Amino acid sequence: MIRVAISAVLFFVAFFIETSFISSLPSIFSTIPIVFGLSVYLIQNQNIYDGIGWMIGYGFLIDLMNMNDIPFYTISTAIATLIAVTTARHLFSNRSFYGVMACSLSSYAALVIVESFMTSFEWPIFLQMHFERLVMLMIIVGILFYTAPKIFVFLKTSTNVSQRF
Amino acid sequence: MKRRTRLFFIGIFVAFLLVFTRGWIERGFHIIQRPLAKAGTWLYKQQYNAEFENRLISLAIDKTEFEQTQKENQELKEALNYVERTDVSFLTASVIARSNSTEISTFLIDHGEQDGIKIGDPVIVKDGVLIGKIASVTKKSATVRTLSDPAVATAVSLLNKSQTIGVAEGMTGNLLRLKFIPQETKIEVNDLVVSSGLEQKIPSGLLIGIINDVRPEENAPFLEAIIEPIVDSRQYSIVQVLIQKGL
Repeated sequence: MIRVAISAVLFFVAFFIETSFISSLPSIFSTIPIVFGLSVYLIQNQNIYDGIGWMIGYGFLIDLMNMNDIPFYTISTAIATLIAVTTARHLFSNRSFYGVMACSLSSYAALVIVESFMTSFEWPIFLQMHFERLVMLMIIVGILFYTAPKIFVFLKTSTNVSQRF
Repeated sequence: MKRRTRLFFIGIFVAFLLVFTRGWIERGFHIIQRPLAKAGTWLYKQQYNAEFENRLISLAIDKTEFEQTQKENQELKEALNYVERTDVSFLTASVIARSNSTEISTFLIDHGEQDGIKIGDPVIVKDGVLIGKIASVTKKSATVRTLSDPAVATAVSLLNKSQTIGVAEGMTGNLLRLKFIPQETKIEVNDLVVSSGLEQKIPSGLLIGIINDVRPEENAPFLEAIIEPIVDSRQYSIVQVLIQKGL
């Protein structure tokens, strides 16, 4: 239960950082999909239920706060979650870097396809924007793939050390 | 009960809790979001030449005021029985979150229905530079759609000799498009664009931008002008909402 509470707190922190801080940054940095990246990484490499909760929770909060033009954003993120879970379980290995990248790509593609049905847009701008976000997503997931396991090991070791004293 | 089912029900419970206690939770969210948005905006502003931009805005405002005063003078002479019907007041609000897409240009402010904000109210910065309109409102927060959002259309007039009026639509890339201008109209690059006052809640004379380009409309006997907003809304973490109480 404590683990779920910690995960929820971390989710809110990531959500606030993305919607308030990162989205205020200049140009390409403002498109970093930090919550989506973390969710895909969790689904593919760590706790699948946390990842599902994070991704659907993201869409839900966006809807709750009226922050998106696309109606029912929760539906878009739920479909992206479904694709991420399916590909993570049955298609791509969680040990391979390419597997994690492919899972991110497929779930993000699902999100974009659903979005494209729900809103009107100018194709060149829509594609350019999502290409930028996809690049940032790949970078985020790539960094997480190499650094997150080391952070987890460090946290576990330091917790064990503090328990001994 | 299985762990999976338990987590599912906890999730549903939390979602309901968030929906029903939204007003209270939003206040808590705002405390965290406000400094984060301010920090991001501060970093964004570092890449701009603030001094140059301030001078540009100041000159544009001076010119707008001069043109407006001239116009008003003439109108008042013509109609001395003019009656003041509106009672406009300002409400200063902080930006707490922004959409991180270039297609949709919205941001959230920390005041809402409780403070008198209504859908359609204009949002300004500096001394009367219009940057957006209230798109939706909750008790304690409101969503602002910037003028460059493709879903926003604004009644504008040009401060040129022909006093061209029209509707400027948002277009992607932080620009606006003024369409259906008759071919014979004389529009020049760098003409100032202000609100025309033909919209119910938006007073006339709020500065919007400058004409960046004039070109013929595709497959139509009209001209199309591209308007560049005079300010970038992403540079501001504090904005003002014009609330009309008299109407």
